[in-house]
This record gives sequence, C-alpha cells and structure tokens, in this order.
Amino acid sequence: MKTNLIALSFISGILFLASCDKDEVPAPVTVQTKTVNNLQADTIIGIASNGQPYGSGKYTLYSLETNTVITNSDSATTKWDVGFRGTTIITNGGNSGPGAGGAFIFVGTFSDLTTIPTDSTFRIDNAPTSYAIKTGSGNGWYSYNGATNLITPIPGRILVIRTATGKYAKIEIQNYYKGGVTPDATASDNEKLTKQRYYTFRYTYQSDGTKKF
Amino acid sequence: MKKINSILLILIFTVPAFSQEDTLFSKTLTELVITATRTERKLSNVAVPVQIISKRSITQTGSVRVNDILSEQTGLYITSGGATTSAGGGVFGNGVQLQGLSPDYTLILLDGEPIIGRQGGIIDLSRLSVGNIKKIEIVKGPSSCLYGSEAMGGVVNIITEQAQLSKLDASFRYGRFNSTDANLTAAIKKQKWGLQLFGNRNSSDGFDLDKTAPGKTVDPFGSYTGQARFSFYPSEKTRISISGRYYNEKQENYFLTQDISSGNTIAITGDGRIKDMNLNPVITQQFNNNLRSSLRFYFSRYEYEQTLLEAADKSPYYYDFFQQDFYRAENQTDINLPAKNFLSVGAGLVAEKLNTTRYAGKRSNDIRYAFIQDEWRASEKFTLIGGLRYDDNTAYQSRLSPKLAGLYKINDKLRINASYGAGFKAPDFRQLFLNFLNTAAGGYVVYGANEITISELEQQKQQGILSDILPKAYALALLKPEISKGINAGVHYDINEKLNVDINVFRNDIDNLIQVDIIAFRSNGAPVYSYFNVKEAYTQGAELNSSFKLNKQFHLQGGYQFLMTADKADLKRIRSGTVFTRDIETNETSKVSESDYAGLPNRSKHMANAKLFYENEKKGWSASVRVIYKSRWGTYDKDGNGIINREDEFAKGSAQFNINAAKKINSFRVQAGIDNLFNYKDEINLPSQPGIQPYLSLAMNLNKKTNIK
Repeated sequence: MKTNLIALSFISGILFLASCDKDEVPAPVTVQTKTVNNLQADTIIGIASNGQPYGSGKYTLYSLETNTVITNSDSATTKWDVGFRGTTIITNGGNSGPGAGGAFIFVGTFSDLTTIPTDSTFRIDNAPTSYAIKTGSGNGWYSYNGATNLITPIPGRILVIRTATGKYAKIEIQNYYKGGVTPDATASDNEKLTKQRYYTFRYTYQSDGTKKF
Repeated sequence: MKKINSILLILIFTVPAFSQEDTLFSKTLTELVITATRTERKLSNVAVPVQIISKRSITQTGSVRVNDILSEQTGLYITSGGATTSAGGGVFGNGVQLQGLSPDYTLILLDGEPIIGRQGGIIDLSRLSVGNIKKIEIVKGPSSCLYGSEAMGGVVNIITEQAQLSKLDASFRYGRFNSTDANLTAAIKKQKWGLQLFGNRNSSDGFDLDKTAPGKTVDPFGSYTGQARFSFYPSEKTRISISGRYYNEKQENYFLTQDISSGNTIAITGDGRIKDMNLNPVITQQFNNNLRSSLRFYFSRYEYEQTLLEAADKSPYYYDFFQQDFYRAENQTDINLPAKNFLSVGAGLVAEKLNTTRYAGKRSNDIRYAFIQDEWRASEKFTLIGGLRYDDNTAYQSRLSPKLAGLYKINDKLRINASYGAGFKAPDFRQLFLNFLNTAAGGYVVYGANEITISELEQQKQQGILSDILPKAYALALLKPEISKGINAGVHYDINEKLNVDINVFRNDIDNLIQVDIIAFRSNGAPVYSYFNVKEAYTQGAELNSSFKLNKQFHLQGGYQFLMTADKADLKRIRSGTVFTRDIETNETSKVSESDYAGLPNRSKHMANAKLFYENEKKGWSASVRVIYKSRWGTYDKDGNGIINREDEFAKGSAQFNINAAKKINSFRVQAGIDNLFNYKDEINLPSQPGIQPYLSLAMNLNKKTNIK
C-alpha cells in the first residue's frame, strides 16, 4: 500500500512537472497538486452484534508534506497532518495531536481557492464532540443517501488544512470507494460495505508557509 | 348501451329529480361525475379538472389491473420502485402521481371509500382488478375540502358496477410469463333488489430481467378478489346497499444474500401475503324534492405479512407483520335552497388502528370531521362553488381546508373554469409512531414524532445510550399535516361535433413536507432519527387533451402534460451559488445553474399519449393502437449535491406502443393484443416493466337473454 502511494505520488509529480514544462512562463515550483488513490481509512472487517460495522478502529495518518502514510506509533508527533477513519477526518491539533493543525470548509471549486481569505477561522478538533471538519451527512465533506446507503463527497467542498507544522494545504475528496468508483445503487449491501472507506483525493500543499496556492 | 342503462335506472330507482339539469333522467347522454362535488353532476357542469375513464375504454385497451389503464391517461405517471430502493425495486408497487405530486398525496377511493394499506406511502394499484369497474373518475388538484387527508394532488375514485340487469359474464386472459386473469361476474336484478357478484383470479410466474443475478426481478404471485354488492330498494325513496370486498395475494420469494460477517452466500426463501378486505353499508333516503341524506359505514382491514427463512435449515431470517384497521361512519345531507343554491353538509368519525412488528405495541388515532359545500348557479352561464372542511384529531395538528371554484359557459361550445383548493395529508403512522432499531444496517434508530421527547433523550444520554444530542432535537414538536394549495384554470372547447380540446394549467404549492432528520448520536456512533415538517416544494404545468372522431369507425385521442417541479430549499441553495457538480470523467467540479436543476426526482417534464380506436359495431370488429411517451426523469443524486442535475442521474425517456384487436361473435368476444410492442426495457429504473407482452383473451356472455339490442 505504502509503496503504491509513493509510486503514485511520484508519477503524479512527474505528470505535474511535465505539464509545467508546457507552460509559457515556468514559475518557481512552490506548490504541487497531488492525487492520492485508494487510501484505506479503517476499512470494515466485520459487523458487531448490535449491527454496527466495524474496522480496526485506527486512524490512517497522512503527511501532506511528504505525501506518505505515517505509522500510528507516530500519532503523538507532528509527522502527520490529517487522519482518516471512516468518514471522520482529524487534523493534527486540538485534542487529536500535538501539532498546530486546524481546518475549515471552503465552498467553491478546487481552483477557485487561490488564497485562503484572511478573515477565515480555522476550527480545532475537540473529539469526540466536535471536529475541525464537521462530521455527519451534509455538515462537512460528504452526504449520505439513506435510500441507497451510499456516501458521496459533496462537490464544491474544499478542506482547507493547517498542517501540524503550521503550513497550509487544500484537499478535495473525490471518492470514498475502492478504485475511486461509487458502487451502483442496486449493488448489494455487502459490496457497499466492503468497498467503502477508500479515499481518493487531491491536494495542494504550500510549503512556504503562505496562504497562497 | 348507456341509453338502456339509464332507462333501467329509472325503473330501479325512481327518485324525484334532485336538480332539474343533473340527474340520470336527462335525455341527452352526457357523462356524469360524482367525485368532483360528491353529488352527481354533468361533466360539463363541473368546475374542477376531471378525467373519466369508461368501462368501454378499459375493455378496448385490454387492461387487467387499475395501474394498466391509468398509465395510459394524460398526466398520470405510474411509479414503480426503482434504483432508489436498494432492494432492487418494485417493492412498493405501482402508485400514481397527479399533477406531479407523489403517490403518497393521491387519495384512492373505491366507490367513494378510501383504500388503505400504504406501503412506503404508496397504494399498490395492481391490487385492484378492473374486471367489475364501471368507470374511474380522476379529480385533479387539491380536494381535501371534500375528502380530507391524502387528497393533496387529487382523487382517483374507482366506481364498481352494481346490478342493473341479470347477467352472467366470464372472461379469461392468458399472456406472457404464464400470466392469467380470470373473471366471473353474476348479477341478479329484481324489482326491489339487486345482487352483483364478482370474482377474479390473477397470477403470473413473474419474470427475470437480470439472469446473472440470483432470484427473479418480479417473483411469482397470485391473487384472488371477491366482491359482492347487495342493493335493496324498500320504497321509491329509500336505497340500501351493502358491499364487501376481499383480496388475497401471495408472493413467493427466493433470493441469495451474503452474510457480511462470514462472507458466505446464503439462500433465502419465503413468502409475502397481503390481505385486504372491506365492508360498506350505505343507506340513502330522499325525503322530498329538496332533501336527501345518506349514512355510510365503512370498515377496511389491510394485512401484510412477510416470512423469510434460510433455505438450508429453515431457520428464521426475517419476519414482518403489519395490520391496519380503518372504521368510518359518515353522514352527508344534500339540500336544495332557494335561488339555485345546492348545499351539501356532512360529518364523520374515523378510527384507525395499527398493529405491527415495527412499532412498540398497537397504535390508534381518531379523527372527527365536518364539511360544507354550496354550489350556486348564479345564472345559466355562471356557477360558483365554495366549500370548507375541518378535520380534528389527537395525534397531530387539526386542519381547515377551503375550496372555491367557478365555471363560466361562454356559449354552448366554450366554457372556462378556475378553482382554488387546499389539500393535506395527515402524518402517517410511521411518522408518528415508528420505533425502530435497525440492527441490519448500522444500528440506527428511528422514532416517530410522538414516540420521543427531549427529556427522554436527555435521560438516554445520562444512561450512556446516547453520546450526543443535536440542536435539532430541541425542535421536536407535534407534527403538522403536509399541505398543498392549488390553483387550476381551464378551457373546454367543442370546436365542432367531431373535435374538442381541453386545456388546464395548474400550480401546486406544497408546504410542511415531512422529512427525517438526525436528532442525536448513539454511543456506538449510529444516528438517531425523527420526523420534522421542513420541506417546501411546488409543481406547475399545463395539460392538454383532445378528442377527434374521424368518422363512425375511427376515433383519435391525444394528450400532453408539461410539468415543472422544484424543492424550494434546493432552488434557494442553487441561487445562492453553493451547489456544485462533479464531472463523471474528469472529476472536476463546477457550479450548478438553475437551468441544470431537474426538480423533484421521478418526474417527466413531458408526457404525451396518442390513441387511435377503431370500432365497427355491425361487424363486431374493434382495434386500437396506443403510444404512451414520457421524457427522461430524475432517479437519484449521484454527485453528492443532493439534487438531480447530472446526465447519469436520469433514466431515459421512452415511448411504449400497445396494440390490440377484438372480434365479437354472438355472445363471445375474442381479443388479441401486444403491450410494449417494441420490447422496451430498463431493468434498473423500470424493474416492473418485463418487455413485450402478447396476450389473448376470451369473454363470454353466458345468458343470451340479457343481450338486448
């Protein structure tokens, strides 16, 4: 999994550079947009007797700076920026981690967000009652359809992240299912459960500490 | 035939003319409508949009169930559970939309009494055989002023035959998938009484649209209907009738499912049963020329039971039981007042009881209501109708429903009408009383609005059952009925003896729609839901119907409905610029504009039909060719923005062609036909459409004596 991700980010990095070459005015490369595919976020391993599906219960921690998964043993460090568990996304700050992390949701397209507005307020995790990225259908990044039992990222919702080290990034979640493809409404409940909790997202990380992307 | 009927009716039921113009005694053969005003009126004197489906057109189209014939009418959209139900569809059967309002908001009456047994909000119209139907009347627009709850989009009144002459008829139809429909009708008519008996057997092997998936798309089923009506006329002024109906359906289930924890595939077998019965005694007394009163009693029971077992060891897998009882007593009194005022007043009591595995024990609700309506014929040309109804009960807020309608006859050929009406739908038992822990899908909980209070939630939080109570929970309140306000305006023009045109425009504003919302989270993270009055929507459009008699043999009919709908909150979100969509190919997002928004799901913007009928009475031949078109309709949101806008969120539009021909030989009638001639199928969005369906039917009139010419 980890090697996959590295390979992928490597490839997307090359693609990015390749596309940069075509640009008329090559600007100094300070930001890069990367796509992460099939990031497992506590995938379901069983159904409890109360009917609740469960995974191992651990967050998948991710470093936006290095574009890698960070082991859970490093959860008390500032090596990771965001963590994924089911539909819940944490940031390395507040009571989730020792970092300077925070987040809020920007309404607009990924490319619309060129500068984080100066009057923006970053929210801080206060688990389990409130998170920087609000949980629940329609509140944060996803909507849940009770009729089809499917989870879909809401288009036009960009996660604006302050990283563990106080840098800035923007994330767009694109899909929540394995392979980046949402199952059909008519798919079996089993398929819907076993294929979920696989994130596809793209993000831009600004390494120079400014709020510009 | 109609002439004979009306003459016979005079013999049977000699009641002084109630109003000079509108009785069965009028010599001209005009169509009569009872549903629009609750008293019999000529169609040309009715001020609200009405559609009548005659027995003749039911026979001509070869329909078997009520949904078959309704699906061919202008503006009537028959829904079938589709992609939005994860079970695969068709689970809640065929309901009917009127003026773009969901089947939940259409009142279905059988001889003026409500049919009960809504599953998922829908009365499955395939429960009703057309075998003994005399006619179907459809009143469009909110009509709660006369009918109370559920008449938000309109009323479909299915009127069955009563004994008018002694007869014995039988018919049998056989079609694809071993589908059979057998009917037997017997009637005895004496001077003082009449008895009509009807029996129907309907069955099918079901069909399978997806051979790769285990189980069938529609499982095999069989049903019986028995109906009897006894009419008794002790004097010229008194009429007593008692009718009863019994329906029994059995569906066989078989499917495979995967056990999530073990990953093993298990086979499930079992059956679903539906029982539906009703009893309806009515006594009508004509006191004098100006006063008539009727007392109606109605009891109905609907029962649904599903038992599923694991095929291997016959261990229980799923059990569901649902029993609904409905009792009603009602009086309606019609009074002729001076200055051409025709007054109808009425009052009634309803008791409803529910017993189901889904609720915590038995639940009941009582309703009291009263209504008044005055029809004022101001002049030969102008009629004004006003009405008011009050519904009061214990489980939800009371409701006052007004109506105002006017009709103006410009001349013999041209008339215009306009009406305003209010409609409501009482919160259903599920919204009031559901108490449901879903162990199969994540352990979530749903409470009916009357099943939970904020203090109970706070108590649960103290006990550690809940982790969090959301602000929404503090808004828990007595539910209000869902309401609609509708305006209709129409023109009817008889261009000449052969051609006529009907145009009606409508707008319905719907408010207080009940939706489920999260009120709390359980300590295991699963949500707790309850019901709230939140949504607002509208439907608006225009409907056109035209009929053209080419000559004695050929008759052409056409209809078209244009429909626009919207959820008002969605529209507001789009206008504020916060709604985006995601491109299927590129994953890029962009803003949704108002013109991309398709409105409420499951609605076609354009619906049209064209029907050509041929009839040669002398030679006994008849035939028909019918085309029914509906444009694409929204299925469900796929891009996560909560609205229907993206191309893949639509089901394709389609045209269905139906043809048939029939020949009468003495007292026999043979009919052969093909429904869905070009084998149109859409297994995802139209799971109840099996494709091409040829059929052959034979009808017999078993006692020739009554075959009077």
